[in-house]
Amino acid sequence: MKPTRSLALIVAGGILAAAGATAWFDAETTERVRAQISSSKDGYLLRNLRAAAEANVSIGLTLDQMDGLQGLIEREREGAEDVLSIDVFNGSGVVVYSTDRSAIGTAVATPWVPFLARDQAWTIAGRGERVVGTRFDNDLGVAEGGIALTLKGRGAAAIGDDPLAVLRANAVSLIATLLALLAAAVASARLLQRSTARFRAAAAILSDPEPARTPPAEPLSALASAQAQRWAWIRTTLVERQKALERLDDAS
Amino acid sequence: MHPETRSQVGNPALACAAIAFAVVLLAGGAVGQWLAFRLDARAEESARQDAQLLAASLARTLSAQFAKAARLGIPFAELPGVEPFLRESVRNTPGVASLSLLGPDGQAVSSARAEGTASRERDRVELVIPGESGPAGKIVVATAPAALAEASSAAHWLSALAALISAALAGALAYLGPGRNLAHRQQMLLAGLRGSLAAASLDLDHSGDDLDAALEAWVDGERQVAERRSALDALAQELRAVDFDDAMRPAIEQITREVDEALAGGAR
Repeated sequence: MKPTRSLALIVAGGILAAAGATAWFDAETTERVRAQISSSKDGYLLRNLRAAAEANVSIGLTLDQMDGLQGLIEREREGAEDVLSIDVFNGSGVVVYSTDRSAIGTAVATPWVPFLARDQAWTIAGRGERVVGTRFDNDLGVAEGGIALTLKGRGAAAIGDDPLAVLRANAVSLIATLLALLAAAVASARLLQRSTARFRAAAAILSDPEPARTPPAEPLSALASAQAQRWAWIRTTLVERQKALERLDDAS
Repeated sequence: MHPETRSQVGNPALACAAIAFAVVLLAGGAVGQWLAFRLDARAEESARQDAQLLAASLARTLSAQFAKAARLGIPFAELPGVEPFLRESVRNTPGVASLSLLGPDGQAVSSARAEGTASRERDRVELVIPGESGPAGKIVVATAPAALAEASSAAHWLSALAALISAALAGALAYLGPGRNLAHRQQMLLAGLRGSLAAASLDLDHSGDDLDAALEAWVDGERQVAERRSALDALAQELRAVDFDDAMRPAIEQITREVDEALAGGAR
């Protein structure tokens, strides 16, 4: 294979590797940023709902009497598209308020209840969704119930499920990368051709039957010129000696 | 190869490596930075939307709380602990730069700002606080999406590092592949031009490039000289065969010796 082609392929491969690595970093960073934002939003929402529930408890309302909570969770659910549902449940694990009204009065998932024993927020990751929750306390610091947000699982965004959508979203990047790759491959081949132009000059000098008397300044051309002059001198010598032999032949 | 010749005619292996390194570093680096900037834009837009949602949620919550005071007829300025409450709300809400409580006349009653967000404000969310007889005031929340997600300063550095590593690898491959091939053939050409290589021992790979053309021109030149020499030797041999009394022998020997000397020394 021509060295220019090999070099173009190597350059194209190098750019592809650099772009691929960047795309990988980008995907990782996007996922991290999404997780960071999502975690901030979930944390805020939980704190907000917990504060509202505890404010109601502190004025002496029981969980059944906090009708305002139903409106609050529905408003918050509307504003957050990655929240699938919000449930508020009592200490026995029965849903009292929920954005999914058919769930009211039913028992929450078994693993949620033991989390009421701890004060920190908790997370359960499942297939395609995850649940984050916290408890809310009365003024004595005793758990009155819990709040759980059911969220779309990370990596389950609509765009991530459809390869065509991924391709469309990244079409500009792909085209730009391919164009850069082509331009760089052509540029590297041209640069190599330019840097090896001295060989073309040497070939022309070596093929010239009548070499120039003044040697070129470029070192390789100077060597080629010396060789061409030597050949010319040898050719002249051989022609003269050939003629001398022919004269001998004629004389005999 | 003579060292002075190598340094004079250039090293094609190094040239190949330098071209591959520079082109991959430039083009790969540019593509990488461009991709990283697109990531920044996407992350910022995503953070911006989320910051607006959080700001709207905060504004709703505060508006509902201050509406209670308005219904009871308590002026906001007389409510105790408003400023610490606003500060706490700003601190607890990610992506929020500042929070202001305005009175019915539009004048700020109290406000709070998250540290280091003065230059990072992006959008404003305003919500009216309903009163008994018209608006009792307004909650104004300014967002700072950058505070919600410090996207990708690392992505720029990592992308530059990836371009540098790819360029170094491409340079090494170019040196070992096409570079060494060119250097080897250049060495053969130089050896030929300096008379330390026989044309017959040369194995041309006919790659069709400029160096190949130079090698072929050299081989062709050597072949032409060899053919003329063969023709002269054949004629000398013919004359010796018919020179029964050895009368021409000294002259023939003289001519062939001169030819040998010319070929051995030449103009080199």
